[in-house]
Amino acid sequence: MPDYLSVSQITLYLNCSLHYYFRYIEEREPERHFAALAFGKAIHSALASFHESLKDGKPLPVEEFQRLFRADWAAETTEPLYYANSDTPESLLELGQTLLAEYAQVCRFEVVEAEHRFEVPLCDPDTGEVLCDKPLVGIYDLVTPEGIVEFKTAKSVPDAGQLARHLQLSAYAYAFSFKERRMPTLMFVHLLKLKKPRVEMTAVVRENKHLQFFTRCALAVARGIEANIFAPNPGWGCANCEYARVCGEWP
Amino acid sequence: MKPNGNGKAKESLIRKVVIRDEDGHLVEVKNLTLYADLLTAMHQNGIKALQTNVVQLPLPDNGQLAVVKAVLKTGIGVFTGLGDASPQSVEAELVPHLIRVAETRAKARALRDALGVGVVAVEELTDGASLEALTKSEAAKESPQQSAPADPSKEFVPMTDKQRQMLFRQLAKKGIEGEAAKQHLLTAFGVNDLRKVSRKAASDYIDKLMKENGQGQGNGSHAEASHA
Ligand code: SF4
Repeated sequence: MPDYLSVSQITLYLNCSLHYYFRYIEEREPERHFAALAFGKAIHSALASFHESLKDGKPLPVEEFQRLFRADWAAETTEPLYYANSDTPESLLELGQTLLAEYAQVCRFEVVEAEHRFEVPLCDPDTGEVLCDKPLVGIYDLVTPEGIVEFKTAKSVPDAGQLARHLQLSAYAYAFSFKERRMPTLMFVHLLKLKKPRVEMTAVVRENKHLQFFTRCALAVARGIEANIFAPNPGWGCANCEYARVCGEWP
Repeated sequence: MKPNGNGKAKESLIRKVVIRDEDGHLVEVKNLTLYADLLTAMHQNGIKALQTNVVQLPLPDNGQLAVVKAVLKTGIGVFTGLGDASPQSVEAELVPHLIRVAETRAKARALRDALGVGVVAVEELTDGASLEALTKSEAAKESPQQSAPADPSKEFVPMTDKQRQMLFRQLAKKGIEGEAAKQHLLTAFGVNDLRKVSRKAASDYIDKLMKENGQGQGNGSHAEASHA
Protein backbone atom coordinates (compact mmCIF):
# COMPACT_ATOMS: atom_id res chain seq x y z
CA MET A 1 0.00 0.00 0.00
CA PRO A 2 1.55 3.35 -0.98
CA ASP A 3 2.48 5.52 2.01
CA TYR A 4 1.25 8.65 0.23
CA LEU A 5 -1.88 9.79 -1.58
CA SER A 6 -1.51 11.06 -5.10
CA VAL A 7 -4.04 12.91 -7.17
CA SER A 8 -4.14 10.03 -9.66
CA GLN A 9 -4.65 7.51 -6.85
CA ILE A 10 -7.59 9.51 -5.53
CA THR A 11 -9.31 9.87 -8.89
CA LEU A 12 -8.68 6.22 -9.75
CA TYR A 13 -10.09 5.02 -6.42
CA LEU A 14 -13.19 7.15 -6.90
CA ASN A 15 -13.69 5.91 -10.47
CA CYS A 16 -13.22 2.24 -9.59
CA SER A 17 -11.75 1.12 -6.29
CA LEU A 18 -11.15 -2.41 -7.60
CA HIS A 19 -9.04 -0.97 -10.42
CA TYR A 20 -7.16 0.91 -7.72
CA TYR A 21 -6.72 -2.32 -5.78
CA PHE A 22 -5.23 -4.18 -8.74
CA ARG A 23 -2.84 -1.36 -9.55
CA TYR A 24 -1.71 -0.04 -6.17
CA ILE A 25 -2.32 -2.79 -3.65
CA GLU A 26 -1.60 -5.90 -5.70
CA GLU A 27 0.76 -4.01 -8.03
CA ARG A 28 -0.41 -6.30 -10.79
CA GLU A 29 1.27 -6.26 -14.16
CA PRO A 30 -1.18 -4.64 -16.62
CA GLU A 31 -2.88 -7.12 -18.95
CA ARG A 32 -2.39 -4.69 -21.81
CA HIS A 33 -0.91 -1.26 -22.42
CA PHE A 34 -3.12 1.36 -24.01
CA ALA A 35 -1.80 3.46 -26.87
CA ALA A 36 -3.80 6.47 -25.64
CA LEU A 37 -1.87 6.46 -22.37
CA ALA A 38 1.49 6.00 -24.09
CA PHE A 39 0.58 8.83 -26.46
CA GLY A 40 -0.24 11.13 -23.53
CA LYS A 41 3.08 10.21 -21.91
CA ALA A 42 5.07 11.02 -25.06
CA ILE A 43 3.21 14.32 -25.49
CA HIS A 44 3.83 15.27 -21.87
CA SER A 45 7.55 14.51 -22.00
CA ALA A 46 7.96 16.53 -25.19
CA LEU A 47 5.97 19.37 -23.59
CA ALA A 48 8.19 19.26 -20.50
CA SER A 49 11.31 19.70 -22.65
CA PHE A 50 9.65 22.50 -24.58
CA HIS A 51 8.73 24.30 -21.36
CA GLU A 52 12.25 23.79 -19.99
CA SER A 53 13.59 25.46 -23.13
CA LEU A 54 11.24 28.41 -22.56
CA LYS A 55 12.40 28.63 -18.95
CA ASP A 56 16.02 28.73 -20.14
CA GLY A 57 15.13 31.49 -22.58
CA LYS A 58 16.09 29.34 -25.57
CA PRO A 59 12.77 28.18 -27.03
CA LEU A 60 13.00 25.01 -29.08
CA PRO A 61 12.24 25.51 -32.77
CA VAL A 62 9.06 23.66 -33.80
CA GLU A 63 10.99 21.08 -35.83
CA GLU A 64 13.14 20.22 -32.81
CA PHE A 65 10.04 20.04 -30.57
CA GLN A 66 8.45 17.62 -33.05
CA ARG A 67 11.63 15.57 -33.30
CA LEU A 68 11.64 15.14 -29.53
CA PHE A 69 8.07 13.90 -29.70
CA ARG A 70 8.92 11.48 -32.50
CA ALA A 71 11.76 10.08 -30.38
CA ASP A 72 9.56 9.83 -27.28
CA TRP A 73 6.80 8.15 -29.24
CA ALA A 74 9.30 5.67 -30.68
CA ALA A 75 10.48 4.92 -27.13
CA GLU A 76 6.87 4.35 -26.03
CA THR A 77 6.05 2.05 -28.92
CA THR A 78 8.86 -0.44 -28.31
CA GLU A 79 6.27 -2.41 -26.29
CA PRO A 80 3.08 -3.78 -27.86
CA LEU A 81 0.22 -1.30 -27.42
CA TYR A 82 -3.54 -1.63 -27.66
CA TYR A 83 -4.91 0.88 -30.18
CA ALA A 84 -8.51 2.05 -29.88
CA ASN A 85 -10.75 2.83 -32.86
CA SER A 86 -8.83 3.50 -36.04
CA ASP A 87 -5.66 4.74 -34.31
CA THR A 88 -2.33 3.40 -35.54
CA PRO A 89 1.25 4.17 -34.48
CA GLU A 90 1.60 6.28 -37.62
CA SER A 91 -1.67 8.20 -37.19
CA LEU A 92 -0.79 9.05 -33.58
CA LEU A 93 2.71 10.09 -34.63
CA GLU A 94 1.19 12.49 -37.15
CA LEU A 95 -1.41 13.74 -34.71
CA GLY A 96 1.14 14.41 -31.98
CA GLN A 97 3.36 16.44 -34.27
CA THR A 98 0.43 18.53 -35.49
CA LEU A 99 -0.84 19.21 -31.97
CA LEU A 100 2.56 20.22 -30.66
CA ALA A 101 3.22 22.54 -33.60
CA GLU A 102 -0.13 24.19 -32.93
CA TYR A 103 0.63 24.50 -29.23
CA ALA A 104 4.05 26.05 -29.90
CA GLN A 105 2.29 28.74 -31.91
CA VAL A 106 -0.24 29.69 -29.25
CA CYS A 107 1.88 29.19 -26.13
CA ARG A 108 2.49 32.46 -24.29
CA PHE A 109 3.24 31.07 -20.87
CA GLU A 110 6.02 32.35 -18.68
CA VAL A 111 7.55 29.22 -17.24
CA VAL A 112 8.56 29.01 -13.60
CA GLU A 113 8.76 25.19 -13.46
CA ALA A 114 7.96 22.32 -15.80
CA GLU A 115 6.86 18.92 -14.45
CA HIS A 116 7.19 20.08 -10.88
CA ARG A 117 6.59 17.58 -8.07
CA PHE A 118 4.79 18.72 -4.94
CA GLU A 119 4.19 17.12 -1.56
CA VAL A 120 1.91 18.68 1.04
CA PRO A 121 0.07 17.43 4.12
CA LEU A 122 -3.64 16.85 3.82
CA CYS A 123 -5.18 19.48 6.10
CA ASP A 124 -8.50 21.15 6.63
CA PRO A 125 -8.14 24.28 4.44
CA ASP A 126 -9.80 26.46 7.12
CA THR A 127 -8.44 25.20 10.41
CA GLY A 128 -5.12 23.73 9.23
CA GLU A 129 -5.90 20.54 11.15
CA VAL A 130 -3.98 17.60 9.63
CA LEU A 131 -6.61 15.13 8.47
CA CYS A 132 -4.51 12.21 7.31
CA ASP A 133 -1.04 10.84 8.06
CA LYS A 134 -0.33 10.31 4.37
CA PRO A 135 0.91 13.33 2.40
CA LEU A 136 -0.63 14.38 -0.89
CA VAL A 137 1.81 14.23 -3.81
CA GLY A 138 1.50 15.08 -7.47
CA ILE A 139 3.20 16.69 -10.43
CA TYR A 140 2.20 20.01 -11.92
CA ASP A 141 2.68 19.98 -15.69
CA LEU A 142 3.55 23.66 -15.71
CA VAL A 143 3.92 26.34 -13.07
CA THR A 144 3.61 29.97 -14.17
CA PRO A 145 3.94 33.07 -11.96
CA GLU A 146 0.14 33.11 -11.71
CA GLY A 147 -0.56 29.47 -11.09
CA ILE A 148 -0.86 26.03 -12.65
CA VAL A 149 -1.36 24.83 -16.20
CA GLU A 150 -2.54 21.26 -16.76
CA PHE A 151 -2.32 19.52 -20.14
CA LYS A 152 -4.63 16.84 -21.45
CA THR A 153 -4.88 14.91 -24.68
CA ALA A 154 -8.57 14.23 -25.27
CA LYS A 155 -11.34 14.14 -27.82
CA SER A 156 -13.28 16.99 -26.21
CA VAL A 157 -13.11 19.62 -23.50
CA PRO A 158 -15.13 18.83 -20.37
CA ASP A 159 -18.29 20.93 -20.06
CA ALA A 160 -18.71 23.66 -17.46
CA GLY A 161 -20.29 21.31 -14.93
CA GLN A 162 -17.46 18.79 -15.23
CA LEU A 163 -14.85 21.53 -14.94
CA ALA A 164 -16.54 22.93 -11.86
CA ARG A 165 -16.15 19.60 -10.06
CA HIS A 166 -12.87 18.51 -11.64
CA LEU A 167 -11.04 16.99 -8.70
CA GLN A 168 -7.55 17.15 -10.16
CA LEU A 169 -7.72 20.93 -10.55
CA SER A 170 -9.12 21.31 -7.03
CA ALA A 171 -6.26 19.15 -5.73
CA TYR A 172 -3.72 21.34 -7.50
CA ALA A 173 -5.38 24.48 -6.19
CA TYR A 174 -5.26 22.98 -2.69
CA ALA A 175 -1.56 22.08 -2.94
CA PHE A 176 -0.59 25.40 -4.50
CA SER A 177 -2.51 27.47 -1.97
CA PHE A 178 -1.08 25.42 0.89
CA LYS A 179 2.46 26.38 -0.15
CA GLU A 180 1.93 29.84 -1.57
CA ARG A 181 -0.88 31.06 0.71
CA ARG A 182 -2.82 32.28 -2.31
CA MET A 183 -5.25 30.74 -4.77
CA PRO A 184 -3.61 30.00 -8.15
CA THR A 185 -5.07 30.80 -11.53
CA LEU A 186 -5.77 27.46 -13.19
CA MET A 187 -5.60 26.74 -16.88
CA PHE A 188 -6.54 23.60 -18.73
CA VAL A 189 -4.84 23.10 -22.09
CA HIS A 190 -6.59 20.45 -24.14
CA LEU A 191 -4.75 19.00 -27.10
CA LEU A 192 -7.78 17.79 -28.98
CA LYS A 193 -7.46 14.55 -30.92
CA LEU A 194 -9.88 15.50 -33.67
CA LYS A 195 -9.90 15.09 -37.43
CA LYS A 196 -8.73 18.65 -37.47
CA PRO A 197 -6.55 18.65 -34.34
CA ARG A 198 -6.63 21.81 -32.28
CA VAL A 199 -5.55 23.26 -28.95
CA GLU A 200 -8.03 24.77 -26.52
CA MET A 201 -7.23 26.68 -23.37
CA THR A 202 -9.78 26.98 -20.60
CA ALA A 203 -9.39 29.03 -17.45
CA VAL A 204 -10.88 27.42 -14.38
CA VAL A 205 -11.69 29.13 -11.10
CA ARG A 206 -11.33 27.55 -7.69
CA GLU A 207 -12.56 28.86 -4.35
CA ASN A 208 -12.27 27.69 -0.79
CA LYS A 209 -15.39 25.51 -1.11
CA HIS A 210 -13.66 23.48 -3.85
CA LEU A 211 -10.65 22.89 -1.63
CA GLN A 212 -12.96 21.79 1.17
CA PHE A 213 -14.70 19.37 -1.16
CA PHE A 214 -11.41 17.99 -2.40
CA THR A 215 -10.03 17.34 1.09
CA ARG A 216 -13.25 15.54 2.06
CA CYS A 217 -12.93 13.34 -1.04
CA ALA A 218 -9.26 12.64 -0.36
CA LEU A 219 -10.01 11.77 3.25
CA ALA A 220 -12.84 9.43 2.25
CA VAL A 221 -10.49 7.69 -0.18
CA ALA A 222 -7.76 7.36 2.46
CA ARG A 223 -10.28 5.81 4.86
CA GLY A 224 -11.64 3.46 2.20
CA ILE A 225 -8.15 2.20 1.40
CA GLU A 226 -7.28 1.81 5.06
CA ALA A 227 -10.49 -0.17 5.64
CA ASN A 228 -9.74 -2.45 2.68
CA ILE A 229 -12.87 -1.40 0.81
CA PHE A 230 -12.49 -2.25 -2.86
CA ALA A 231 -15.35 -2.91 -5.25
CA PRO A 232 -15.81 -2.88 -9.03
CA ASN A 233 -17.58 -0.02 -10.73
CA PRO A 234 -18.54 -1.36 -14.16
CA GLY A 235 -19.05 1.49 -16.60
CA TRP A 236 -17.33 3.65 -19.17
CA GLY A 237 -13.93 3.19 -17.50
CA CYS A 238 -13.87 -0.56 -18.18
CA ALA A 239 -13.05 -0.05 -21.87
CA ASN A 240 -9.72 1.43 -20.83
CA CYS A 241 -9.02 -0.79 -17.87
CA GLU A 242 -5.81 -2.78 -17.96
CA TYR A 243 -7.28 -5.37 -15.58
CA ALA A 244 -10.54 -6.18 -17.38
CA ARG A 245 -9.77 -9.90 -17.58
CA VAL A 246 -8.96 -10.46 -13.93
CA CYS A 247 -11.87 -8.21 -12.98
CA GLY A 248 -14.17 -10.49 -14.98
CA GLU A 249 -13.09 -13.36 -12.74
CA TRP A 250 -13.44 -11.35 -9.54
CA PRO A 251 -13.94 -12.15 -6.66
CA MET B 1 -10.02 -13.10 -5.65
CA LYS B 2 -10.67 -11.79 -2.20
CA PRO B 3 -9.20 -8.34 -1.81
CA ASN B 4 -10.31 -8.07 1.77
CA GLY B 5 -8.14 -10.97 2.89
CA ASN B 6 -5.43 -10.87 5.50
CA GLY B 7 -2.64 -8.72 4.07
CA LYS B 8 0.15 -10.07 6.31
CA ALA B 9 -0.68 -13.71 5.59
CA LYS B 10 -0.78 -12.91 1.88
CA GLU B 11 2.55 -11.12 2.06
CA SER B 12 4.17 -14.23 3.52
CA LEU B 13 3.16 -16.12 0.38
CA ILE B 14 4.98 -13.74 -1.93
CA ARG B 15 8.64 -14.36 -2.67
CA LYS B 16 11.22 -12.63 -4.71
CA VAL B 17 12.26 -15.00 -7.45
CA VAL B 18 15.27 -14.61 -9.67
CA ILE B 19 14.65 -15.15 -13.35
CA ARG B 20 17.63 -16.18 -15.44
CA ASP B 21 18.06 -16.62 -19.15
CA GLU B 22 19.33 -19.81 -20.81
CA ASP B 23 22.90 -18.73 -20.13
CA GLY B 24 22.23 -18.35 -16.43
CA HIS B 25 22.36 -14.55 -16.48
CA LEU B 26 20.05 -12.77 -14.12
CA VAL B 27 17.28 -11.18 -16.18
CA GLU B 28 15.06 -9.80 -13.44
CA VAL B 29 13.76 -10.29 -9.95
CA LYS B 30 10.00 -10.84 -9.81
CA ASN B 31 7.40 -11.07 -7.07
CA LEU B 32 6.01 -14.57 -7.34
CA THR B 33 4.39 -17.19 -5.19
CA LEU B 34 5.00 -20.94 -4.98
CA TYR B 35 2.44 -23.67 -5.47
CA ALA B 36 3.69 -25.51 -2.37
CA ASP B 37 3.25 -22.39 -0.22
CA LEU B 38 -0.25 -21.82 -1.60
CA LEU B 39 -1.24 -25.38 -0.86
CA THR B 40 0.10 -25.21 2.70
CA ALA B 41 -1.71 -21.93 3.33
CA MET B 42 -4.93 -23.35 1.94
CA HIS B 43 -4.70 -26.41 4.16
CA GLN B 44 -4.31 -24.10 7.15
CA ASN B 45 -7.38 -22.11 6.04
CA GLY B 46 -9.46 -25.22 5.53
CA ILE B 47 -9.88 -27.04 2.27
CA LYS B 48 -12.86 -29.25 1.43
CA ALA B 49 -11.86 -30.64 -1.93
CA LEU B 50 -9.41 -29.96 -4.75
CA GLN B 51 -10.31 -31.82 -7.93
CA THR B 52 -8.99 -31.61 -11.45
CA ASN B 53 -10.16 -32.82 -14.80
CA VAL B 54 -8.46 -32.77 -18.17
CA VAL B 55 -10.20 -30.38 -20.57
CA GLN B 56 -7.91 -31.05 -23.51
CA LEU B 57 -5.29 -33.73 -24.13
CA PRO B 58 -2.06 -32.63 -25.82
CA LEU B 59 -2.34 -33.85 -29.41
CA PRO B 60 -0.52 -33.00 -32.65
CA ASP B 61 -3.57 -31.20 -34.09
CA ASN B 62 -3.88 -28.82 -31.11
CA GLY B 63 -0.19 -27.99 -30.95
CA GLN B 64 0.32 -30.42 -28.01
CA LEU B 65 -1.58 -28.03 -25.74
CA ALA B 66 -2.79 -29.70 -22.56
CA VAL B 67 -5.59 -27.93 -20.66
CA VAL B 68 -6.71 -28.88 -17.17
CA LYS B 69 -9.43 -27.41 -14.96
CA ALA B 70 -9.15 -27.35 -11.18
CA VAL B 71 -12.11 -26.97 -8.82
CA LEU B 72 -11.30 -25.97 -5.27
CA LYS B 73 -13.99 -26.14 -2.59
CA THR B 74 -13.36 -24.15 0.59
CA GLY B 75 -15.39 -22.86 3.51
CA ILE B 76 -15.83 -19.52 1.73
CA GLY B 77 -16.78 -20.78 -1.69
CA VAL B 78 -15.79 -22.66 -4.81
CA PHE B 79 -12.86 -21.47 -6.92
CA THR B 80 -11.91 -22.72 -10.34
CA GLY B 81 -8.72 -22.38 -12.31
CA LEU B 82 -7.62 -23.33 -15.81
CA GLY B 83 -4.04 -24.30 -16.54
CA ASP B 84 -2.38 -25.11 -19.83
CA ALA B 85 0.99 -26.41 -20.95
CA SER B 86 2.60 -27.04 -24.30
CA PRO B 87 6.17 -27.82 -25.40
CA GLN B 88 6.61 -24.07 -25.94
CA SER B 89 5.60 -23.18 -22.41
CA VAL B 90 7.60 -25.66 -20.36
CA GLU B 91 11.26 -26.52 -20.04
CA ALA B 92 12.56 -29.38 -22.18
CA GLU B 93 12.65 -31.95 -19.38
CA LEU B 94 8.96 -31.35 -18.64
CA VAL B 95 7.69 -31.93 -22.18
CA PRO B 96 6.78 -35.58 -21.43
CA HIS B 97 4.71 -34.34 -18.45
CA LEU B 98 2.48 -31.68 -20.03
CA ILE B 99 -0.73 -32.80 -18.31
CA ARG B 100 0.95 -32.77 -14.92
CA VAL B 101 2.28 -29.26 -15.50
CA ALA B 102 -1.12 -28.02 -16.71
CA GLU B 103 -2.72 -29.56 -13.64
CA THR B 104 -0.31 -27.83 -11.26
CA ARG B 105 -0.91 -24.54 -13.03
CA ALA B 106 -4.68 -24.95 -12.80
CA LYS B 107 -4.51 -25.77 -9.10
CA ALA B 108 -2.14 -22.86 -8.43
CA ARG B 109 -4.61 -20.54 -10.15
CA ALA B 110 -7.55 -21.75 -8.09
CA LEU B 111 -5.54 -21.56 -4.87
CA ARG B 112 -4.37 -18.04 -5.62
CA ASP B 113 -7.92 -16.90 -6.22
CA ALA B 114 -9.12 -18.53 -3.03
CA LEU B 115 -6.33 -16.95 -0.98
CA GLY B 116 -6.55 -13.56 -2.71
CA VAL B 117 -2.93 -13.71 -3.92
CA GLY B 118 -2.53 -11.54 -6.99
CA VAL B 119 0.99 -12.41 -8.07
CA VAL B 120 1.43 -15.48 -10.28
CA ALA B 121 2.92 -18.73 -9.07
CA VAL B 122 6.34 -19.78 -10.33
CA GLU B 123 4.71 -22.92 -11.72
CA GLU B 124 2.33 -20.86 -13.87
CA LEU B 125 5.11 -19.05 -15.70
CA THR B 126 5.25 -19.90 -19.35
CA ASP B 127 8.39 -18.15 -20.49
CA GLY B 128 10.63 -21.17 -20.06
CA ALA B 129 13.16 -19.18 -18.08
CA SER B 130 14.95 -21.06 -15.36
CA LEU B 131 13.88 -20.01 -11.91
CA GLU B 132 15.50 -19.97 -8.57
CA ALA B 133 13.35 -19.29 -5.54
CA LEU B 134 14.97 -17.20 -2.87
CA THR B 135 14.26 -16.61 0.74
CA LYS B 136 13.14 -13.08 1.49
CA SER B 137 16.45 -12.00 2.98
CA GLU B 138 18.43 -13.36 0.05
CA ALA B 139 16.03 -11.67 -2.31
CA ALA B 140 16.48 -8.35 -0.58
CA LYS B 141 20.12 -8.42 -1.60
CA GLU B 142 19.22 -9.06 -5.21
CA SER B 143 16.16 -6.87 -5.63
CA PRO B 144 16.85 -3.48 -7.15
CA GLN B 145 13.92 -2.02 -5.19
CA GLN B 146 14.94 -3.30 -1.79
CA SER B 147 18.70 -3.34 -1.73
CA ALA B 148 20.79 -0.45 -0.64
CA PRO B 149 22.48 1.01 -3.71
CA ALA B 150 22.81 -2.01 -5.98
CA ASP B 151 26.04 -2.46 -7.84
CA PRO B 152 24.83 -2.35 -11.42
CA SER B 153 28.04 -3.91 -12.68
CA LYS B 154 27.18 -7.19 -10.90
CA GLU B 155 23.41 -7.50 -11.15
CA PHE B 156 20.85 -7.04 -13.84
CA VAL B 157 18.80 -3.92 -13.28
CA PRO B 158 16.69 -2.98 -16.30
CA MET B 159 17.06 0.44 -17.86
CA THR B 160 14.53 3.04 -16.79
CA ASP B 161 11.82 4.54 -19.02
CA LYS B 162 13.75 7.79 -18.89
CA GLN B 163 16.91 6.11 -20.15
CA ARG B 164 14.99 4.45 -22.99
CA GLN B 165 13.62 7.86 -23.91
CA MET B 166 17.08 9.42 -23.81
CA LEU B 167 18.48 6.72 -26.06
CA PHE B 168 15.81 7.44 -28.66
CA ARG B 169 16.29 11.19 -28.29
CA GLN B 170 20.05 10.94 -28.76
CA LEU B 171 19.63 8.73 -31.82
CA ALA B 172 17.05 11.18 -33.24
CA LYS B 173 19.74 13.87 -32.95
CA LYS B 174 21.90 11.73 -35.23
CA GLY B 175 19.02 11.39 -37.69
CA ILE B 176 18.20 7.80 -36.64
CA GLU B 177 14.48 7.63 -35.87
CA GLY B 178 11.53 5.30 -35.42
CA GLU B 179 12.01 1.66 -36.35
CA ALA B 180 15.59 2.34 -37.48
CA ALA B 181 16.39 3.62 -33.99
CA LYS B 182 14.87 0.55 -32.38
CA GLN B 183 16.85 -1.78 -34.65
CA HIS B 184 20.00 0.25 -33.98
CA LEU B 185 19.57 -0.23 -30.22
CA LEU B 186 18.76 -3.94 -30.47
CA THR B 187 21.95 -4.44 -32.46
CA ALA B 188 24.04 -2.17 -30.27
CA PHE B 189 23.00 -4.01 -27.09
CA GLY B 190 22.92 -7.46 -28.71
CA VAL B 191 19.39 -8.20 -27.44
CA ASN B 192 16.09 -9.12 -29.06
CA ASP B 193 14.04 -7.05 -26.61
CA LEU B 194 14.91 -3.66 -25.18
CA ARG B 195 13.62 -4.78 -21.77
CA LYS B 196 16.76 -6.88 -21.54
CA VAL B 197 19.03 -3.82 -21.59
CA SER B 198 20.58 -3.13 -18.20
CA ARG B 199 20.63 0.28 -16.55
CA LYS B 200 24.41 0.30 -16.60
CA ALA B 201 24.62 -0.59 -20.30
CA ALA B 202 22.01 2.06 -21.14
CA SER B 203 23.87 4.64 -19.10
CA ASP B 204 27.16 3.88 -20.87
CA TYR B 205 25.53 4.03 -24.28
CA ILE B 206 23.75 7.31 -23.51
CA ASP B 207 27.12 8.78 -22.52
CA LYS B 208 28.64 7.53 -25.74
CA LEU B 209 25.84 8.99 -27.87
CA MET B 210 25.94 12.28 -26.01
CA LYS B 211 29.66 12.54 -26.61
CA GLU B 212 29.13 11.81 -30.28
CA ASN B 213 26.42 14.48 -30.34
CA GLY B 214 28.81 16.96 -28.76
CA GLN B 215 26.98 17.08 -25.43
CA GLY B 216 29.80 15.98 -23.14
CA GLN B 217 29.53 13.11 -20.70
CA GLY B 218 27.71 12.04 -17.56
CA ASN B 219 24.06 12.49 -18.39
CA GLY B 220 23.49 8.79 -18.90
CA SER B 221 24.00 8.12 -15.23
CA HIS B 222 22.04 11.24 -14.35
CA ALA B 223 19.06 9.84 -16.22
CA GLU B 224 19.53 6.61 -14.37
CA ALA B 225 19.61 8.21 -10.96
CA SER B 226 16.77 10.63 -11.41
CA HIS B 227 14.35 8.01 -12.58
CA ALA B 228 15.45 4.97 -10.63
S1 SF4 C 1 -12.94 -3.68 -15.63
FE1 SF4 C 1 -14.21 -1.96 -14.90
S2 SF4 C 1 -15.08 -2.63 -12.95
FE2 SF4 C 1 -13.38 -3.99 -13.42
S3 SF4 C 1 -11.60 -3.12 -12.38
FE3 SF4 C 1 -11.59 -2.33 -14.45
S4 SF4 C 1 -12.70 -0.39 -14.33
FE4 SF4 C 1 -13.19 -1.54 -12.47
